[in-house]
Amino acid sequence: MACDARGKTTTIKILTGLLRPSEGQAYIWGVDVEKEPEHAMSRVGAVVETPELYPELTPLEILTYVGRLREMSPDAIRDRSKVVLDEVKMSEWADKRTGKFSKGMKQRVGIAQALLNQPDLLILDEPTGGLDPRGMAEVRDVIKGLGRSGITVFMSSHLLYEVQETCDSVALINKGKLLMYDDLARISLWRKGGRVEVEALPPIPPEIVERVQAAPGVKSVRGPDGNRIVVELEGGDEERAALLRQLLGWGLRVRSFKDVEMPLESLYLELVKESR
Amino acid sequence: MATEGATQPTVPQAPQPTVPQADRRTARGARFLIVARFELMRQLRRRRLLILLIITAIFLVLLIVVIQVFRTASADSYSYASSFGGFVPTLAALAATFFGADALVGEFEHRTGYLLFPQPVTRTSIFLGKLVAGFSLTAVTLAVYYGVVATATAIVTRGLPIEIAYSFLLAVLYSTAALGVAFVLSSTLKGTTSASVMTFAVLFLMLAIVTAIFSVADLRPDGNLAFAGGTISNILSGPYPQAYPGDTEFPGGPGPGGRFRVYSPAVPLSILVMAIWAAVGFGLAWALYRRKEMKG
Repeated sequence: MACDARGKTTTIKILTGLLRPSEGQAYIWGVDVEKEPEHAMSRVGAVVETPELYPELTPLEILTYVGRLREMSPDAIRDRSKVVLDEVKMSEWADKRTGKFSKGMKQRVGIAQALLNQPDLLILDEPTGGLDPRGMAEVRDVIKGLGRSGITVFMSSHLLYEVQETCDSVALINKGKLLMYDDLARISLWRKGGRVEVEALPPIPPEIVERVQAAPGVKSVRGPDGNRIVVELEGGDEERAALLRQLLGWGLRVRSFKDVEMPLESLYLELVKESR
Repeated sequence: MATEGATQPTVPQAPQPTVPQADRRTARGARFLIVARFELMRQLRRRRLLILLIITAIFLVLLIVVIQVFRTASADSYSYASSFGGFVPTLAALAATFFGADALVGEFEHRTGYLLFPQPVTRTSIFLGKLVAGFSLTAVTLAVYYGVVATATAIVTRGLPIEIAYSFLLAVLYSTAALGVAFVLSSTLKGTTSASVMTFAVLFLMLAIVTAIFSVADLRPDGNLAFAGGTISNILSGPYPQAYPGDTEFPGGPGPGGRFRVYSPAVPLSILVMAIWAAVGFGLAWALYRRKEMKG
């Protein structure tokens, strides 16, 4: 995950042999992708950007082309083509030339070809980029289904909610450098600050706001704005838990206590700031 | 740089296939034939071969009619067949433009490389596949042209000189070299249109202009592909090698002597020149194509 133009697609292009690294090597399953591209990509399916399809060919013919390059037998290609086209809801277009397909349809054929030989690793570069909301939801469902079926999905995205919805682990990069790599469930352990929005049953007395301001780990307090205050914290989860305990102890009737930014967003911004 | 304490990714080893793996009947080295097969399918669907064959047919019909109207009764099979030789370099230039100019650059410009390049296939196999497809289509076009020429010669003159076959082989070699030029431009330039225009301009105009400049400067243009291609027509002049035309001089040229020399390409040297153009062209194109990156 990274913001735009921070190295996500470049990383994936290097892994899939579309770009050469300016230094260092890239490996898939321990195989150097530059020296042995056939071996490295033999059990990998990839969809990089939104691939354009050959307009003279039908999805079925494109799958046959890809299947033959992946050393699949004609029988296996025929059987798997039906399955993957069903999976991406393109069966009724299987025999139509792709010249006039929409971007979403091309993306789905792209995913179908990547799944054709049931790869152990699927590489997706911003798989929902340019799709309409329905298309995005469909592609996310496909990705989650693949993850459940045991395929490792390596995907890039700048959409935080997409990462949180579909991924188990996340690597944050900035300008081509790895800032962090960990399980999504443990991301909160990395967080060192952020803003918490506290909503309470009215009123919020001014002395409570003053107490919060003086509490350990609190940088600033904004509000009260109606029945809401926003607390900027220096610490992580421990400080949040302590603040909540204190608020309850002071008699504040808290009805919600939540991060203003998503954990990934605040963590990413924090790590980018630190890396400068 | 990873943040201190970051969980570092490890490099997992290749897993054992969890599904019935594809059969291994396709040898790794044969992938270029798969690329060639689908390239041919694409070219045929684009109707470029059909268009080129229509152009060829129109020209042949016109030529046959014109020759029939203006030929003298004594004209033999050599002079009849040689009337068709002059069009071959143009046909080869058209074939190279149609089947070679956009072959490599098209994957980048049209972004189909995002589909093809991440497959388990090397750039060399892709290059070879496109070369085989381009060569096949060019050879088919020339074969049709020479087939019609041979048939017309046999019917009209009741003779069929073996030199028509020699000319066909020279034409195939010339068109292969032309395809090499097209591939170099296709691996160098960024767009299919510029590659196509440049290919035709180089093969149809620039090389001919260089040949003319060399002749005016009284220099033998032996290394020039267009000059070497003159053998395709010259070899139809009469029984080879006896009747093969040599250099000729005409009065009225520049300089004190006032002579103007027209050079005639020698067949063995021209074969070597065309082979070198083909080898250097494809070698250079391959080197450039292997390193070409999918940016943007």
